[in-house]
Amino acid sequence: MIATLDTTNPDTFINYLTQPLAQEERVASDIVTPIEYLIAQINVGQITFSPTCIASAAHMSPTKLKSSISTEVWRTVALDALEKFRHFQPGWDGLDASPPEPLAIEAAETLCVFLTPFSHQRRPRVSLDAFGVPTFVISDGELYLHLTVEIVDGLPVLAWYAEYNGTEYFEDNVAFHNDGLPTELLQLLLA
Amino acid sequence: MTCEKCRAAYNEVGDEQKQTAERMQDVDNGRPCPCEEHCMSDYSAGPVRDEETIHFLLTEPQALTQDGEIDPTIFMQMYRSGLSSLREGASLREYELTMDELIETSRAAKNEDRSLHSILEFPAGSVRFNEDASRFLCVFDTATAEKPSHVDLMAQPKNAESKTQMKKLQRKSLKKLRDLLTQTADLSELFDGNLQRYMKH
Repeated sequence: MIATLDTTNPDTFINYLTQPLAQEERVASDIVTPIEYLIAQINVGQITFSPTCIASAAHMSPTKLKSSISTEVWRTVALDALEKFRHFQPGWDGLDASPPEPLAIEAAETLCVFLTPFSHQRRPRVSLDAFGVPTFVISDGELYLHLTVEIVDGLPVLAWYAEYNGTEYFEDNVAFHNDGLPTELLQLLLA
Repeated sequence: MTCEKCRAAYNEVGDEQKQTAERMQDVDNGRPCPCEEHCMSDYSAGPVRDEETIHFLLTEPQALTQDGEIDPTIFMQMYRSGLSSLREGASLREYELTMDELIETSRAAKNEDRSLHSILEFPAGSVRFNEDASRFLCVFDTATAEKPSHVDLMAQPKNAESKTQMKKLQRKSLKKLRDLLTQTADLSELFDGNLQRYMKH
């Protein structure tokens, strides 16, 4: 499976893990990178090599490797949650809970991609509120962030309320494009 | 202002475009929480006193952030039909029914399975008022035949200048409630530990 792994250069190794697998190497249509393969193997209890072994082979620290894997796990968990939310019906959480707008789920999925590279503490929990709004929450002791994705006039907009170092930050109706996070939000996540 | 008006507002009779929390506020021309003085059904034990202990059941994984803190998103229901809770004196059966309903709702929505994480415990008076003595949440007696100790916590929708301002107030209130509710019931003591079977093992 890891036949083409370059064991001498950590950068090449990371590159290998995150690049799409060749079609003939794929074991399932939804597994497109080696790291996803590793995670899938871990998830079904079929893993035959430990992260320590791989790290050793690639001269990469186990911590760095673990961090890479957990990043992918977060994204997978977040996207899985959004996929479930997509199918929620009215009353999914109490009699009057609203289902999400499909466009809001799609925008939230894109947001997940942009949030994936952040450190563990800055990767939010994804949930759906009673109004059917996809919501991302961070509460790591330093930063409190409540970030939502809504559709206004057919376009995705973000709103967030945050507290950092005793200061409040609030933005509403911030246009969300597919080219990255709004600067103000990025600054909070990097704080 | 009558008990009948409160019951009608709670039972969604009238302006169905509004959330229950809004209708409950409209009952007496915007006077905060007028229906706290009345019972929403014939099964209730009477209005909820400030000193009464309220229990709110937290379930996982829905209620927790990555770091194991309460996800404030779960409190958003206080702006809709209310946060279902149980008041002092509730029977074991009422807690069981609450958990069973939560589990069933999750399954019906094909959401993740729920288990009991903890029970937030607080006096009703602690969530009713802000530091400046203005009203924060209303604690309504909303007993049902099966759950005579049922209460609902509802926010008072503010008369904000704009939707944006309203959103900011809501978000701030969600965090405030989360920060307020820090005490939990001892599940090994409550009903001789009977509710622990709902916890993840």
